[in-house]
Amino acid sequence: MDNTIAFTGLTKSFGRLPVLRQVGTTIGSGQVVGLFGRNGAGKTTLMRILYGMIGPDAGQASLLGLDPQAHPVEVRQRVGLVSEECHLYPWMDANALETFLAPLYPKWDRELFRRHLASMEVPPDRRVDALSRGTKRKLMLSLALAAQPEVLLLDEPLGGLDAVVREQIVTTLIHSLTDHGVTIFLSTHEIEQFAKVCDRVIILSHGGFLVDRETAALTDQVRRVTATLEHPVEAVPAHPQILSARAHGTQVEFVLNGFTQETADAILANWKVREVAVSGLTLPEIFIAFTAGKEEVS
Amino acid sequence: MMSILYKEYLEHRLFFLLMVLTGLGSLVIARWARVLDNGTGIVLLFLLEAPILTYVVAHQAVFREFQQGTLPFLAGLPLGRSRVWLAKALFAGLFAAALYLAFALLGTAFGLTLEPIRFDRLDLFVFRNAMALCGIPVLVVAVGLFTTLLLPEGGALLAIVFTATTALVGYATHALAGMNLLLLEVLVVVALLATSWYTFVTGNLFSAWRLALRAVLVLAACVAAGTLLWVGIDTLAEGAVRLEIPEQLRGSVTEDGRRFFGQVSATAALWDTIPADSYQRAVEIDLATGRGRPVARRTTAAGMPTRDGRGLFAYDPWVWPGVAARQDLLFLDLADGGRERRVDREAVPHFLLPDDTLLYTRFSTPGGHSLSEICRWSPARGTHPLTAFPTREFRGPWPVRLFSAMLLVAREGKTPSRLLSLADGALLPIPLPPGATLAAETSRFAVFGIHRSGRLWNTSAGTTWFALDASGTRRDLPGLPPQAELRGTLPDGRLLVRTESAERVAMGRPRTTTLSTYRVEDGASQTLAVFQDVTVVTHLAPDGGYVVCELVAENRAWTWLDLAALPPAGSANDRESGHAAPLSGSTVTPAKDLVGNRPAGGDQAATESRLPSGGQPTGAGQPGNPDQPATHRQLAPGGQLVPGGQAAPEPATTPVTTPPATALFPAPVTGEPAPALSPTPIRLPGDGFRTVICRPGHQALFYGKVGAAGELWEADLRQGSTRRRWALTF
Repeated sequence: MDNTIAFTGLTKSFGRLPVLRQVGTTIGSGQVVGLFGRNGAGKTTLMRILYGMIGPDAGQASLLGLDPQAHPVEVRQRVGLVSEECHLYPWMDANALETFLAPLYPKWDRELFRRHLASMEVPPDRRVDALSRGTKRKLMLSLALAAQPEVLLLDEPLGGLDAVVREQIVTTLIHSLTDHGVTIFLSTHEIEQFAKVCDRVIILSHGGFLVDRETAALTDQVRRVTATLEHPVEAVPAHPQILSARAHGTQVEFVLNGFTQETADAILANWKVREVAVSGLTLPEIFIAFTAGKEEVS
Repeated sequence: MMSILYKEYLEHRLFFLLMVLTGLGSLVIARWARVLDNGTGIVLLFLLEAPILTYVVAHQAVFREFQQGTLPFLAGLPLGRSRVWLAKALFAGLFAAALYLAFALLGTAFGLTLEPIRFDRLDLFVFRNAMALCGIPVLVVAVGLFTTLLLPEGGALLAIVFTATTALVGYATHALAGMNLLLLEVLVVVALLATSWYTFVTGNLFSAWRLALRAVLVLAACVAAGTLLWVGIDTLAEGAVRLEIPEQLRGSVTEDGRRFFGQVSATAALWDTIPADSYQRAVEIDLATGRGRPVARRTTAAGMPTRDGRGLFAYDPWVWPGVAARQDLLFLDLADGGRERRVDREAVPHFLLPDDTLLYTRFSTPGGHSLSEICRWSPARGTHPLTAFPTREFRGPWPVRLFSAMLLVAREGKTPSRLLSLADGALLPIPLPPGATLAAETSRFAVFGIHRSGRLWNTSAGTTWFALDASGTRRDLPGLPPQAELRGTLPDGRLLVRTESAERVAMGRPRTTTLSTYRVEDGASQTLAVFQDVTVVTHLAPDGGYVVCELVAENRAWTWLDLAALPPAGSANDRESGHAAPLSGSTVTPAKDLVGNRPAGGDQAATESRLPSGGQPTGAGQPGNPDQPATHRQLAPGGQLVPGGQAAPEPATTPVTTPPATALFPAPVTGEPAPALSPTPIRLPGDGFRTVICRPGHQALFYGKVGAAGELWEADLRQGSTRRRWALTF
């Protein structure tokens, strides 16, 4: 698998505030990778660095084999970005936007743009400032997709969209894109929505990657262990693999990262256990387990 | 880039139409209010509206993207930032061009003519040349593209301050006087555009106070770098300056007569810091060899040399943007390699005293009071104030100040005169009526004149003459006509007087000009020569031995009068009674008037005149056709005046031992006393000679253009010979 997106040692600070610290990974062609993190974790900064809008303080990034800082034009012609920070010209309508943007993208497909507008129910002749927030987002998506990008960077793509369109985007659109080999790197708080389409999950916290695993492996390896003890306990002893834990009388519950039966047994060996249950976690639960109690600085 | 241009077009098309309508509306309103003349229309359209509107568009280039939140979207397009900036700059330029064109068409439709305007007091430099229609929009676009990066949080106020300062400096005439505005504008525009481009491309927009502060620092750095660059260009341009061969020498000759100090025009390179059209350069010319050299800094204009030629007082026009132009008075120590010493600021030199001390007036404001101080200055002792006068200060709003100044000017003539002692600065009252000015001095008298200018209800203009002796006793001089002009003092104390008739002929030349002498002691006058239909400029030799007359008609010729041939002062012959004293020597024909008319009285009016030794000049014919109107006088080389531009000498009608010197030799007009002297022509090659340097011993130097060369010719007046001495080289 080729490295469509690759970055290593990316570091970025704004003033004296570190935002990214030595992060790096590779993403193959056609993958859908979700970047999750709390507010202020540095997701948008990472997206902007990858798109070449800002430069890192250290480290290197590559999209489609191109350095976005050195070749911003070539990268942007082949990479689409839908960002919540981007605002379209309020006095333009979809038609004017298309006329404006089409010459900038060599693979711009006018028909595809029309189809996306129609499928997302975006009126082509209404000024942007007369559109709802969700419709603006749909228009931005349509514009990004009309350029037929090889990589799509989505920064909070579902913000302001109603449930129907969300579902439409997640299930239909993303599958359709990946079928065409488009690599998608998305950052979102809508973890549950994207859980089913993400091949990989990256959890960003305090400028570093806490998790960078295949989605299936992650859900396999992070398990909740619930045990009923003979005697009440006050706390669960610290363990490097325990992400979160809770003790309530004779009931203890902890989330284990890198679950194995041996590890769970080793932790429970301190008590007389009456009953043990191991259950899986949803992706949002895993995210919370990893990031709860870790305030981000913004 | 075309996409950005298209986007900008879409965004501004309505704005453009609105602006054109604004221009149209302002013209309609001005016409309706009946104030629409050419000047008002052009100022309205091209000085106010077009620059402001162009600035608005240029300023919106990035500022508006920031305001509507589209800057990240724009920055995320597959376009280099340089291209985005270039497209926006290009659009601002195109918008400005379209707007100016539209306004030009509007103006034409309203009958305006797009010609430069000169204002009496508000002489705006923007109208001095083509910069009015080209330079200003470019500058405005550059300023707008710079301030567009001063984004709201930190830079709105800064943008206003910067733009207002630029406009004030740009529109103030004197702030930029003496500078090559084209070069200055190019440098400023390049600096602004480069800063704008770099800031946009690097993405470090001035979007916070901290960054706005950086903008100020960037500006300061630009100003510092620009100053260094300016000085560098100034230094480099010195080598490219070409001193022009002057038409005439303007300046002074040292007392030993060996050197000439003056100023010549210089042609500066286009990229020079000094405007090419007003560049004067102080030079020294060696009168023995004709070799000239600049003697001072490049902006220094020549003043007066000391008598010994060891120093030169010169003016240095000192200008800098934002500061009014002023002239410093410098002393250039030529004995010390031209070392400059500043005599004073804002000083007005008067004259050199016999010991080479300069008498000058300076203006100062000690303690907020305006003072005019009369000072002496010498290289050894520096400034020595003699006396000071308070200068009127005007307070209040500018119309009041202006009115007060006008009143003061009107009252100036009524200020009583005082005599200033150069020894101790004491001011002595002297019985001078208001308006009297010193016109001449003899060993015993100071001659003053009170000039009356013609008014609407009284067109008689002239001068009332009187003299004061050392005791202050006043003596009226009724023998000096009101139209007289005192042209110098002869060694025996007689005044050289030039009197032009009130009657004027072509080109305002006087019908007759009489040169005469006048003695203050007894009022005796003697006519030396009478000229007709020419303007006569006299140049008295320093020893008083002769006077060179420059005759200007359609062209120019030179002649001279031998004052040494006059009888001594006080002799009975020089009493003017219409009869000049009979002089020994060759006799000449009765002089004829300039058109050949024989004077009334014929031979009876003939004057004996002692010709200069050598009998020169000879062979000059009489002017020809007496019927020829005297309105088109053409002076032939050598000084003959012939009618209609034709050299048509007429043989003398009376046999003479020595032919009349020239047709210019005038005859007395009917009823007038006969001239005592015969003007002798000076033969020079062509009529390009404009300068004479009179030297003692009947030697005169003439300078003029012969072809492209500036030549100096030496004339031995008594010998009647002239020879080329040198051609001027720099």
